[in-house]
Amino acid sequence: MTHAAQIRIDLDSATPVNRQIVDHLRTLLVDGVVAPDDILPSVRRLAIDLGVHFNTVADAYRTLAEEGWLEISHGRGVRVRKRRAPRPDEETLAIFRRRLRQLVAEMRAQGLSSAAVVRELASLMEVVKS
Amino acid sequence: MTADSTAMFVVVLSIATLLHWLPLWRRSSLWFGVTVAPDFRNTLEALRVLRQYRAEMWAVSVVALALLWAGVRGEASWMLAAGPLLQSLGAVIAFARGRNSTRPYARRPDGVRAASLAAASEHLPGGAVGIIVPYAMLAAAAIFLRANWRRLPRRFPVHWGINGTPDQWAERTWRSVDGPLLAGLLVIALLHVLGYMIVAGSPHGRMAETADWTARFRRANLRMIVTMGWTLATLFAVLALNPYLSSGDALVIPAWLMVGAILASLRAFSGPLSASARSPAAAAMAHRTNAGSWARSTIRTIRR
Repeated sequence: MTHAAQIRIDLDSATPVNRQIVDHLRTLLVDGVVAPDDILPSVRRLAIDLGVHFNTVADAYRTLAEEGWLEISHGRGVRVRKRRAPRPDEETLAIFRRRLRQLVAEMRAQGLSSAAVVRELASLMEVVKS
Repeated sequence: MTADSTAMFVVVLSIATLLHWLPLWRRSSLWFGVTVAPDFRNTLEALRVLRQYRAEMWAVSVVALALLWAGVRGEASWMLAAGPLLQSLGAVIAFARGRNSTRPYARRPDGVRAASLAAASEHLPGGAVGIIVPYAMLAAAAIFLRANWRRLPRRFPVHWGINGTPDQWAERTWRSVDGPLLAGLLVIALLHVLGYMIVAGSPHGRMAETADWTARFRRANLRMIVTMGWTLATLFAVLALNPYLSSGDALVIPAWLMVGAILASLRAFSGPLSASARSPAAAAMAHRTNAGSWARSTIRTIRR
C-alpha cells in the first residue's frame, strides 16, 4: 500500500457515509492502490480518524467482505484478500449500463456538453485500460 | 508582605497574562470556540471581541489583586481565597461573552474528512523501558526506605513554605514515608493512561494536508509524557528519600530546582514543535491545525 492511500468522505454529501467509504475503498482496491495482503486500519481506528460511528465503518467493511475484497478476522484486523473477479452476467451488465446512462444524464443536466462528457469517458477508459 | 502572599500575587498576575493570550492559541478557523472563516481573526469584529474579552478579564484581575491586597493587610482572610476565585469566574464569563459576540459570524464546519489507510504503528517513545523505569525508580526508593527504616528520623518535615522553611511535620509511619511515592505512582500512572489514550483513542488527523504536522504534534505530546514520567519519578523518589538524605529539616533539592526540572521537561514538547514551526513549509501547513496555530501563536507571543 502506498503511503498516500487514504479514505476521503464528505459529511455534507447526500450519499450515506458507509456508502462513501465502500465506494472509495473499492476504487482503491480496483486501482491497486491497496493490494492483496495489505492490512487496513481496524474499525475502531478508522472510525476515530474519520470521526464517524464504529458501526458505519464496520458496515462498510462488511459490505466489502461480502464482495470478497476483505477478510475480517476478530482481533487480527482487516486484511485485503486476493480476489478473482466474478464473470458478469447479462443482468449485471444491464444494471451498470443503466447506472452509466443515469450518470451521463446527470452530467448533461449539470451543464456539461456532450463533447465534454465524451472526453471524460474517454479519459476514464484510458485509466481502465492501463 | 510574606513570601507566600508575594507568590499569590505572582500567580494571579501570571494567570492574567496567560488568559490575555489564551484566545489566540487555537486553529485559524476558531474564534472563542466558534467555527468561523479562516480570515475572520483579521476583521474589525474579531478584534473588537478580543478587546472586549481582554478588558473584562483584566478588570476582574485587578479587582482580584485588590482583594488579595486587602486580605494580605489582614482586613478579612476570606478575601485571600475570593481574589483568585473571582478571577477564574470572571475570565470564564468574559470568554462566554466573547463566544456569544462571535456567534453571529459562525459558519458550518467543513464536512470533508480524510484518514490514512497506511497509518504507521504508534507507541510511547522509549518502548517498555520508557514506561517501566519511572515505576522501578519509585519501587527502588520504597525498598531502600524499608531497608533503612530505623535510620529515618522519628519526626520529619513533609511540607515546606515558598522560602524553603518547613511548616508541616509527620511521624515516621508508612503513610508519611511512602506517601510521596504513592502520589508519584498515581500521577505517573495517570500520565501513562493519557499517553495510551492519545495513541489508541485520538484521531491521527482528519485532513490529509495536515497529517504530517498532526503526527509531529502527537509525537511531541508522547515524548513529553515519557520525559515528564521520568522527571516526576526522580523528584518524588528524592522527596521520599529526603528524611534519610537530609541532615536537618531542609529539602535536599531546592524548590526552584524541582520547578526548573518540570519546566525543562516541557521542552520535550515545545522544542521540536517550535523548531519545525519556524520552517516556512511546516509553518504553512501548521497554519491549518490546532497544533500549528498553538506553536505559531506562542512564537509570535515570545517575539513580541
